[in-house]
Amino acid sequence: MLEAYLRDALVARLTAWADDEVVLAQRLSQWVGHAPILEEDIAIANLAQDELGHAKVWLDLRQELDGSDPDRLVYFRDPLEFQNAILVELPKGDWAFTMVRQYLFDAYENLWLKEAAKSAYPPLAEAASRILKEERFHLRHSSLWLERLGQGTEESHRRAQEALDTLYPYARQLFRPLPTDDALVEAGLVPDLRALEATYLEEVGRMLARAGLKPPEGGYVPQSRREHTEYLWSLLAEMQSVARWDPEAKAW
Amino acid sequence: MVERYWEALKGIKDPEIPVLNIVEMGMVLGVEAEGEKVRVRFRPTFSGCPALRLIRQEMEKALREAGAKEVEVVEAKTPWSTEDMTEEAKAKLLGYGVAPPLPLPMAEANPPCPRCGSLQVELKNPFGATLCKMLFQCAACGEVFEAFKTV
Repeated sequence: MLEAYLRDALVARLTAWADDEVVLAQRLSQWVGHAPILEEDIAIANLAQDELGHAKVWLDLRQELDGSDPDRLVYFRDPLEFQNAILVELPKGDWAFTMVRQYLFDAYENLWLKEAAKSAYPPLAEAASRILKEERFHLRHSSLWLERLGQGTEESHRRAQEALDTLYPYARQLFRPLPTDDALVEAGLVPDLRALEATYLEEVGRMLARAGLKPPEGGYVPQSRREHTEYLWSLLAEMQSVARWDPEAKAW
Repeated sequence: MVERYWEALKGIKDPEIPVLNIVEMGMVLGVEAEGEKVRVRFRPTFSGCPALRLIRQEMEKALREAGAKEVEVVEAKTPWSTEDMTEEAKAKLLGYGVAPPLPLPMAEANPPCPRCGSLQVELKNPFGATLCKMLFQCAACGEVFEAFKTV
């Protein structure tokens, strides 16, 4: 059993992880039927399904802690209560934007999940090691695309670099902890995100160099997960519309 | 008694790979029976697998048909691995034209072509028609094939 302050902090942490996955899954699913080639249409549907599955893993863990209903959290919570990072809520953009974002997010997930698999809270450690196995394939996919776009035509390179210039500072937000994270880190329950940032920038930097892309200097890094852009509102309105239409439905 | 329930569960195919049943996939960790009440410890494969709901329904149905009055399905949290698949299951996959998962230490390696056995294969896409498979093409015989992800 966790002490109350740790339980509350873990509930907040799990929610932030789940919200990243839910919002990203929604953005990815906007490509279904529109991807540049058939295999990618299938891949992106798979990615969306995986991310949604991972959100469910985190929300199920949260449910064990506070009895909350995962469906209600996803489909009936207001935008201001969502704790996702801005990176995942930005509009889907072109294919380069989508794949660069996916790469930046996949590299982050592969890194912190590896650490979270050592958590002192066994359900979290097990969930992280399970998700990590699946995330390896995400990273393999988006790394291939990063290289293909960066080293492809002048046009694909230009688009990938433009996407990177926009997205890179937002990716750094993923390493800004929640105010309650320190207690969790101290208890060995979750990895210290701040400490992982340097490794991340180094790993991503190597991959970007291989793809012939340059990380931009500076840029605005959001500090809080309470911060959002206007894009989150329309995304959630669309995502939640069916459930809100018929809140009593047994299955959507 | 418990044997009968195991047999019933072996009748449930993985909806996405209809040559395999959920027992040889390694999804069933245990079956306990107390009188007419059956408890199954069950483990999902991929977290986002859309077949889970259907598999749960089918387990319930199959166990009731085998004589259970009450069925409880407990989801285990320990991660599933392709190491939990039986050798027969891997052989069946191969026969079905899907390259079976490699032993875990070889997770990053490419599987041989299920048609001609060549190792000259190229990854086309880490995502296939279902979450658990990826797409390859064989350079030797030209076959495009799916491989079960090693996890």
